[in-house]
Amino acid sequence: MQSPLKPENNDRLSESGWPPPPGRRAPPVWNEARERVRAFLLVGLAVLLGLSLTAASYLTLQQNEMLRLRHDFKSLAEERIGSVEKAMSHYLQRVLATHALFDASEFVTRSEFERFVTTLIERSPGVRAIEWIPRVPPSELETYRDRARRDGFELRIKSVLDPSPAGPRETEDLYPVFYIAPQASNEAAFGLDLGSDPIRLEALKRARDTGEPAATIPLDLVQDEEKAKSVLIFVPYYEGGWRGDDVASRRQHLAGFVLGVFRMPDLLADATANLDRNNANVALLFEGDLLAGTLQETTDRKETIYARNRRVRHIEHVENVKTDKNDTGPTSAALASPLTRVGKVAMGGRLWTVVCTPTQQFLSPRESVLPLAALIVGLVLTALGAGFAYTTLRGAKVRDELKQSEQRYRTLVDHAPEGVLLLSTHKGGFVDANENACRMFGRTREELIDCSLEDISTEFQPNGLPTTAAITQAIESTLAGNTSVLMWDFVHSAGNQFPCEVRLVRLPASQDILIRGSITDISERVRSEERQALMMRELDHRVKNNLATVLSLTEQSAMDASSAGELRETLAGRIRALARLHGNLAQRQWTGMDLSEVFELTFAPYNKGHDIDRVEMTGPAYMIPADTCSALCMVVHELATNAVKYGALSQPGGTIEIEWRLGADGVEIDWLESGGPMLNEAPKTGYGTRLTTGLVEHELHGRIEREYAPSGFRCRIVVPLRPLGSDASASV
Amino acid sequence: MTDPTRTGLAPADRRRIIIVDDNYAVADGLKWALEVDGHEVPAMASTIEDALTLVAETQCDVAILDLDLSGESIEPVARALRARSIPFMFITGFGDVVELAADLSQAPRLEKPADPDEILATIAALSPTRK
Repeated sequence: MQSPLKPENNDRLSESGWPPPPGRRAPPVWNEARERVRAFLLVGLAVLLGLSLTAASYLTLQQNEMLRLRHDFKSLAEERIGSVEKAMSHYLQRVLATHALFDASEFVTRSEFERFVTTLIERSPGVRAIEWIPRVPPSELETYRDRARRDGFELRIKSVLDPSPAGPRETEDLYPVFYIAPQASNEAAFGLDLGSDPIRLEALKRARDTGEPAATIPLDLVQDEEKAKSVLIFVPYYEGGWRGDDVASRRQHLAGFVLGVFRMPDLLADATANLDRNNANVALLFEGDLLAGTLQETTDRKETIYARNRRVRHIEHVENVKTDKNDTGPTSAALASPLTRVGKVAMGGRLWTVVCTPTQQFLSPRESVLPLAALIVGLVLTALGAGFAYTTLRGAKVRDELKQSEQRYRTLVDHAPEGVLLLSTHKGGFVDANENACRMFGRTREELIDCSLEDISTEFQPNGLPTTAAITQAIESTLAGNTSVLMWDFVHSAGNQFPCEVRLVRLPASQDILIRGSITDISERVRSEERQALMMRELDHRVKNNLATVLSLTEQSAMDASSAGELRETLAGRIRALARLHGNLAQRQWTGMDLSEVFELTFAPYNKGHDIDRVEMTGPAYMIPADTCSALCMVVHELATNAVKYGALSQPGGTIEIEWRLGADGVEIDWLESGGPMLNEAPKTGYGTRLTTGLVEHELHGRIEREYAPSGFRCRIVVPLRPLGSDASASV
Repeated sequence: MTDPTRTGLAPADRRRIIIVDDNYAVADGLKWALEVDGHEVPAMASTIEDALTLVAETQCDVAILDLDLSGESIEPVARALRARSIPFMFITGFGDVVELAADLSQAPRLEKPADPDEILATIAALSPTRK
């Protein structure tokens, strides 16, 4: 039996797993941290991937969206830009047509002019006026005053910068507004000297010198109360309608200018009047001069505008023409819009920009939720993916650990030297079994799990209780915290019973109550114990029998002996012979010995001091059983003793021939002495002779024939000896 | 071998006793002891077969039986004796270990090496002098 402490310690060891091997393995904390970093990286990677895909799809969709919108807006914008361009060209044509009037007639009267222009600009509301600006040298001023008077007007020369009537300049030519149509609302401009203002003078001079129409920058008209930005465009007229070859001749022959006054907001409104204003806003911006000096400025400004990357959906007051270069707020915003389209229109040496931007009304119905939806869906998927990745990693880790733990457990249990059964009191049966248990009971694990403890036990247990009661007792004791070690008899599936030692331990399980039974088959131990008991009994028997024999030999020897010395000699000889035989049989595990060995053994003491050649033994090998050896040995001992005392070996030269063979009745042994003293009659028979005869007849069931021939003693012993192995006689 | 002069028994107390034992020395010693006391040992047997023949053919008053004859149980001989109402006793080297059939376990049982006086007393008890 084991002490109750030891198995408990073993249990603890096996339940907590093997102690960690020294060195090599990283501490669990480090592993944990590495695991966590790995999981974090993987999840981070998933998030990054998700975000990248989301951003990419969002940007792609957004770009597609923009391309679609741009495509949709392009024709719309181009139509508007085109119509503005057309309007400007059309307006200029009005001025040029008026100019052609001067070419066509020798002299154009005020009424002719007014009539012509009024008709001409009837459908061009942006043309505020068309005027005739004669070149009036100071010397001819009076002439023009007279002509005006004839037409019913009083010509008062006015300066632009100082609108109050001022005296005529003494030296320079005057460029007064002389004809003006329509007259209504333009009276204030009559007599205005356009050379009195540097802005107007610049365009005037440019027109004069180039012979081409020249426009001013946007400016406020003297006669316009609303101060809507307007542009004056001078078309020079030379004497005789001839344009001249160079600046000098042009300056010399300049007669005057046909001047168009365009109110730019009205022009824009006129240009877009027939177009749907809901979808697009159109702005007309003054860009600058076509001259080299101002072009640079233009370029710079454009760059400034395009450098801004704001997207603005609509522009307020788009129909106001912006003339102030510094006021770039909504304009630049409009230019920055990716949908905005821009057209350049040159007029009278000035560059104008037509900016067309989509309205909210254009954008709203076309705006797709697709990019936003993609963004949201992408973000949601990313979050879900990251969550899933994290959960999966955690799950995989947990599963991994579980699997490892399961394998560890399986290894421990399956390689346990005992059969292990796991009993669940909750289930009321087994929940697991190891390989040894399967072998032990001759059932598969599944079969064992389906069995109850009663199914694999004998009806009664070694403690005398019926199995059911024994089970209850054992489980109660185990649940009370005892480590029970019981003897238990089990039944193999083949039906054979086998005794076992069972150690029951309650396992620290969280939900179920589990009892582990470690089962050791002790059949071999029991058999060994039984064998040992049998041997002890056998030994007892043998010793007692031998003592009884020795006692009997002693008594009989004593009866026979004539002296104490003789008794000692014969008795000691007999007992020694028995002792030698015992020793030899014991060495052979009492299996028996060869017949020749029995002889040799018996003669062993007599061979000392005698020539071994005096005893000659011939015969086949013949194994005889142990129980027969004893009697035969005694017989040979008695014969040998007699030979030494009285026979062939009692004097030098005497020999004994021992010959044996297998005969019909068993083994025939011939004992022939020669060279001994002459024997005339049979010697007095003593105990020795009686013992010899008794042993042969009583114990060996044979017969002995003695002959005292003159040549020496002879005898024949016939023993029905059973050769060893012929039956169960080999057993001790 | 019998020497009547050495006997201390009255003729009425003398019994014919058979001995069944496979050990000659023991049987011979027992025989000698019984004869010295005045009993007669007409025959001895060392096998079950011989013993059964002996029981059938020999007139005797008491039998002394070795429990184990070269591994064979003496029980058949005991039963044959009981059938003929011949009392018997067992001598054995096995002590109390060998279990006898219940019907035979009442017979006297002595352990080897048995004390001759005890054997003689047992014989006297088994076969009391008829008066």
